[in-house]
Amino acid sequence: MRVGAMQQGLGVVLVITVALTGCATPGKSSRARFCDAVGSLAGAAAAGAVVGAAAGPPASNSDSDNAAGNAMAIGAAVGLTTGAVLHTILCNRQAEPAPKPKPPAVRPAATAPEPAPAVTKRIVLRGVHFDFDRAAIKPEAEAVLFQAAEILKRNPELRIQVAGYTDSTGSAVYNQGLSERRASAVKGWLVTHGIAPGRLDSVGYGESMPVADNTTEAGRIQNRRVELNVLK
Amino acid sequence: MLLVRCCVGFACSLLLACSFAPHATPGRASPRVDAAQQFSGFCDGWMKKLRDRERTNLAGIQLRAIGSRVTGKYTGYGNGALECSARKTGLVTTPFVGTLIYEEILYAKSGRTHSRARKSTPRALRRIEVTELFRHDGTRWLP
Repeated sequence: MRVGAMQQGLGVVLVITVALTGCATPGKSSRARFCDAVGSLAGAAAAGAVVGAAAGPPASNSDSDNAAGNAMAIGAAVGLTTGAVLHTILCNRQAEPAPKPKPPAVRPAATAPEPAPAVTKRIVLRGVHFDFDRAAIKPEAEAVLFQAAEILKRNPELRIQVAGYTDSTGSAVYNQGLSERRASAVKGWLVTHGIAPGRLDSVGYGESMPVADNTTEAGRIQNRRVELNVLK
Repeated sequence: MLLVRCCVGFACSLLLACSFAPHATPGRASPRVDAAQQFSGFCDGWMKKLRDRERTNLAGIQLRAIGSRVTGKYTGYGNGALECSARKTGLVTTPFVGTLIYEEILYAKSGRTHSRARKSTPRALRRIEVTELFRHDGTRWLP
């Protein structure tokens, strides 16, 4: 009886050990380890109860050894199974992924100041118009160009795109070339009057960007123009 | 006696000449000053045209559905001129040049529906400082 009891106890300890070992995965959180222990102990307790009830008092010594051996085997099996089932139920439920770290606090959009829109500049040479099908700068336009050159000299950090435009008279292909020649003419004038050529690019936009009505002569005059776009 | 008559005659002719001479009207500026003063009114008129254009742009805003939002953009202008000044050039063909500076603003309106987008407060996407250089041809400022 004593040997049988010891064997039963040994069986219970074995079950606990097996169950705990199976749960004791390195890296688990303390909460997970707690759940493992609970599952294992519950399994062992259940096993002990079942074994105790099933084995009962031995009839004789020889029977006692056999009964003790059987009880240990039954205890181990039942304990293992119960422990495994409880472990699965409890530990799987606990084995949910750890909560993600909290995202960094984001200030409410309503209070966050909006970034200031980027500010660029444009210089429109209103007085600089061209004769029909011509890229030559008229003498009367020079006063405006002098003013523009002065602005550029006062702001030496500015890089400029000299943009030429035409009215819609003629073909688009021809007007494209004409707008490029007008832009080049203004760029050349500015370089002649002291603006570094490295600060200036010239480009033609043809008839694609009218600012006035192309159906009237006054509108067409407005559209034959050159603008200075500040590239920064 | 002869001397006295000569002096009286001279004084009379002087008075006569003065009475026919054109008067310099007090408060009337020279044409040169006129051009500079006119430019202020020219700037006001130009800014009014821009405000009209902004209203037209806003009325014709093209709203498009992008995802779950309806958005549209239009061009507007800042309140008033940042600078309006004219100066003499010394050139015969262009005695004055004028500088008008203002802000051109690209606005966006958006909302969950077309109606809400139209009613929404416009948001500035981009600001451009525009400098317009005008010339005076001796009689008027040319647009």
